[in-house]
Amino acid sequence: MKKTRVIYVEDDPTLLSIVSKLLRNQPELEIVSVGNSADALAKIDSQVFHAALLDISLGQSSISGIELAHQIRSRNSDIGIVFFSQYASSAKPTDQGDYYMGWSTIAKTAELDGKYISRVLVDSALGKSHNVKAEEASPSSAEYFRQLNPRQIKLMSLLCQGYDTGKTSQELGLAPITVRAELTKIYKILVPDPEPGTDLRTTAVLRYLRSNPDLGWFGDD
Amino acid sequence: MTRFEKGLNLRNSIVPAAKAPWHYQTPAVVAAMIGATSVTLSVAQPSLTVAWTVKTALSVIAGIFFLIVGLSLILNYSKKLISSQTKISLKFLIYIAANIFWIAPHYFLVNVFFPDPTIDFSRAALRIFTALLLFQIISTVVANRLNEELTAKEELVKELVKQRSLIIESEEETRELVSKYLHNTLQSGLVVINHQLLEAMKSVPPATRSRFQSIVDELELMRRIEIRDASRALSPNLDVLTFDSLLTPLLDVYRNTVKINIRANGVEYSRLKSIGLALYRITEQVTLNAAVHGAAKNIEIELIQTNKQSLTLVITNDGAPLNSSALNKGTGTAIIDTWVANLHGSWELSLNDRGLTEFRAKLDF
Repeated sequence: MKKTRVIYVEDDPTLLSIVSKLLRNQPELEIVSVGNSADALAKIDSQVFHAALLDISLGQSSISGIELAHQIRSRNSDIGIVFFSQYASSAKPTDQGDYYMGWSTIAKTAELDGKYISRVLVDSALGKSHNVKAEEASPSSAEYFRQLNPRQIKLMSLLCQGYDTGKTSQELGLAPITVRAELTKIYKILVPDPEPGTDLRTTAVLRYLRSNPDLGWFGDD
Repeated sequence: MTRFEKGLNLRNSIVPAAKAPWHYQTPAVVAAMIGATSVTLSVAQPSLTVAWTVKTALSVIAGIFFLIVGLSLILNYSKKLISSQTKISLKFLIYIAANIFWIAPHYFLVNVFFPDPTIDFSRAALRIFTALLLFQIISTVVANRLNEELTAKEELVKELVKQRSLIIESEEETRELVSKYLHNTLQSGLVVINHQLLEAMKSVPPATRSRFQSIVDELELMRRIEIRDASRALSPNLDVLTFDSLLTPLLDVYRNTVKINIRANGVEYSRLKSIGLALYRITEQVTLNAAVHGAAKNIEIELIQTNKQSLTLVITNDGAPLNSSALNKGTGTAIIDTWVANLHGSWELSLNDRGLTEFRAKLDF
């Protein structure tokens, strides 16, 4: 099988190393990685690539990933362009003309799914585009917090101090069943859309602390 | 239609006062002078007929015209000498000397070109000329002082505008620095850390993994959304493909309160990248004013490329109608002033034909 030759441009050396290693494990890809736009253009001029995986913000010494993509396309109009960035949606074209065939965007996440990145790269090299969904709106931590009643706030501050259900019920003078019922209500407020496998208590505590850290560790001081 | 011109208002209010004499309404001034001189002559010389009074007044005005032209020439020549003096008394003396120097030629000119109709003409004319001359000397000195003050104020305005521009530039640099740190360093670092955590979690028991997963999810939520929003709020991402994408953070801010419609047909953003920040900041301030102060529900943003080097940015909103309170200068208008001035442009706020408040900026790039 003919491999898809990919040039990967990323200015963060750690990420460059991790993602390069990840992609080298994909049998359908052949990866060349560089840390800036000048090196990328030099490689593009001297070698044949089928796709380019680009970060958008490439640091002060480089042109931006988007400008780099245009320059790469001006040298090789058939090359697949894949943006791999936190700002990926900003590189998503509104125009669906020929120029933007094989022009894709992938949002950077900790999962770093090598297989998915590989699929997008191969597809883009063949002229097919994949694009990130519209970016999420920011959930308001303060909004979560306002929905809690005083007893729930007291309960959460004990949870933040490491109290379990038994100790919490003793401290608040409530039956354990009442504490558990309150916790269920709190989870629905603080973690309204849990992913499968989410630890509700940990997530609730983290969100509570972010929304009002003073009432977390130091609430009773 | 209500229309308020904006820009460097203080400067604009100063400049008209320093206009050259020929920029004023000459016919009206001359007619007033003829009228005033005729009245003065008829009082001073009751023996003159009405016709002779007007004719003599014309002669006098013609004389004054020569007087002014001649005086202007002398003043031009003596300008350097006058401006180099620091003491007002010395300047006053130079003015008087310049005017006295001109009296004799003037008197000669009037008598040659406008023959004396009565025996008493020369005395009456001399009295009028002398009075006007004194008035002119005093007004010239006052005007000179006023001009000096205006020039000084104009310099202060220029300095103020320059300082304001520098402050905004410096603020933008700091914002960009922090924003890039958040986006490039912190976010990339968190991606790596979270990735390492996910890798490490593969070897821990399921119960513990679930707790770690929750922590990673929260860190990812902070990284993807909260740090991104903070980074954007500090400094917009200019590396975008379209003008619409440039304004995405603004759309996010007002998503729940205002419907914003953007039109930029035929505008190639890649050519505008150098002024992307200015476009963003101007739009940000106008949108903020419309949404917060005008309580607008709909905002339309249109970018029109008028030629290769100029753009027109039009932002209309259906908020509270424009009134005098909209003219209060605040931080917002100062920011708009500065960015528009940096692009050698101008802007105005008006009520358009549909009764909507319309901001219109003409910008060069």
